Amino acid sequence: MIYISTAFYQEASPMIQAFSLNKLSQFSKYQVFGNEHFTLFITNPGPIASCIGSTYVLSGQRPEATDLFVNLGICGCTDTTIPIGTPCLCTQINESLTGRVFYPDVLFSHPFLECCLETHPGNISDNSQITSNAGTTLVDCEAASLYQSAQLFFQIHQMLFIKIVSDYLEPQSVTDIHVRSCIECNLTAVFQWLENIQQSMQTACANSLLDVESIPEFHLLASQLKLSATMKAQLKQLLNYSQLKGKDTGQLLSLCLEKTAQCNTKLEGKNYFEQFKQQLI
Amino acid sequence: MNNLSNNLFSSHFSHIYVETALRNSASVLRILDKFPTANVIEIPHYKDIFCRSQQNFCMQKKSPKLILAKKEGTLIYPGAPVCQDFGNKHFYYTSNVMNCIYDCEYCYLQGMYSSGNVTVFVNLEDFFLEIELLLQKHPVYLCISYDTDLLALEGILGYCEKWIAFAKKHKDLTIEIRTKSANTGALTALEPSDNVIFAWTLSPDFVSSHFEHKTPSLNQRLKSIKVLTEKGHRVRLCFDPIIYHDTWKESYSAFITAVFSHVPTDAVRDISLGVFRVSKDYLKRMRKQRKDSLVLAYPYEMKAGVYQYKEQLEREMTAFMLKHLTNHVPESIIFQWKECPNESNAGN
Repeated sequence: MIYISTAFYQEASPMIQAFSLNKLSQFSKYQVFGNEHFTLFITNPGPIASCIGSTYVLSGQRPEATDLFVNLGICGCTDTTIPIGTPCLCTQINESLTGRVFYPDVLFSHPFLECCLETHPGNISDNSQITSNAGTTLVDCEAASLYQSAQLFFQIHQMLFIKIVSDYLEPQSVTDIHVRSCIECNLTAVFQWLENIQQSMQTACANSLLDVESIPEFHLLASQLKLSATMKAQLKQLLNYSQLKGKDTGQLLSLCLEKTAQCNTKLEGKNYFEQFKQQLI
Repeated sequence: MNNLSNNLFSSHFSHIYVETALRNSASVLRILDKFPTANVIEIPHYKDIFCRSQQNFCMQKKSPKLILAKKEGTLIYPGAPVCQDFGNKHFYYTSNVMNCIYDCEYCYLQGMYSSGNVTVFVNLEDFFLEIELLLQKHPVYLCISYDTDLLALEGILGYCEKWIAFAKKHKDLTIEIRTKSANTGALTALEPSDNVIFAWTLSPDFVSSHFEHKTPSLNQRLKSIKVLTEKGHRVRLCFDPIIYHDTWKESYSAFITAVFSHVPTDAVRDISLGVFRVSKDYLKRMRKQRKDSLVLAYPYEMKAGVYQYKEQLEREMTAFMLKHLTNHVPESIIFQWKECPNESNAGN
């Protein structure tokens, strides 16, 4: 799943149309759209709104190791040599209110310009309002707070901040059409890249281990052998090990259940457990 | 703009984070010269990158970044009980570099550090100063390549050469450079020295190919050792950790034969021998990150906060190794890891 955070409907609408996203009615406080690949939510602009919105939506989800969180939106730019419409990957995010600095992990090759971004509580219209000395090029109102809220749910390599240059600190010049156009022009490049990243991550995270906790026989056996919590955890570890050695864990569990059906006491259970341990090692 | 490559993970050290105060220092500029296309990002302090929360060590290992920093505070630490002191009373270690470019599944670094990025402390002169102060009190035995592989990074940092030059000036200092590298090119011009110990960690092919990712093969390491020993150097061989696997007896038997067919016994200064062991906290973290690692998934037993093999197996593996090693070298030069700290246990 790719979770996309935008501040305005105008930023979201090109993606809603391009990917045929449906409104998700289970979210009543914020507009959330989705399909089997994407969940897109509109937080409204500003650090507090984006923090609350993202936390509200993500709290109901269970992001997995191969999911991505993407903050995709427009931004102001202090460098007039960077053309309007340029997509930028933020490698440093400054929070103007607190002076804190955040560094997203940059693990993946990408086709974008790398920039330093500063998040302000509202629009700014000149360079003198930039607070950091770190060569800030981009300005927005959400990224720093989104970084902090998304960190509750994702690891930092899963968090990507892509901003499209919409103006040179002239927020009044930014119209709805202009916003849509900035996003539309970069949809293909951005989402092709995101898809490639997910594939890379799926390969990197590929893990054929069956979750032992999901096997009913595991719990049955632990109960049958009257195992303590510690021993049950040891049994789980043993079963993980046996899986990695290519043994049929399900079959082993079934055999053991059969053999120990007459286990009556904790001491008997402990003895059976030791025998089972030797078999698995 | 960066170009999209077929392998989507960025190259190693594609980004270099540099503490702002060091940005124009000679040592930093020397290192940056080696990476002309890297993106350099200035940071206030290395911990702003190295200690971020929610990092994934294993994912970062696929595209590690370089952090250049100055180390403050304590620079030289007393040697840890889980490490071999080889009978040296004043045993210390230091970390000029945190993290290694190799990716061994059993490595404690992934339990100790939250980041897979490599941090290099460029203020080597401060480390040397602290050692000189120690040397005023007593001789020092110092391991300089524990939390990294300095020889593997020699082409970028040149730290081994600097340490060796420093040791040459201080005969009361003995340094150990532990490595899995085959990068001996830079060192072949070096003269043998009693107070510089090159220590190779060696494992059978099965262990090396299954668990020691990105490392040179056993054969490559043995060839490197041979190059140095032919120049008169005496080396330390580290058979540590010994890793259990189904065919461990055949593996380790063939392995020891291979080692001594390349390394003349009179070129072996001493041997370190120890089965795998790791602290409870580290293993918990390591298992969480590498769920599919056979070596980490093994059902170790815990004793005094350290996970290790069952005592019977441990004794069997150690006795096996001793028996085969003593066909080639005297037992007096074999130092075994024992649970009790600070016991000199050569020849036990």
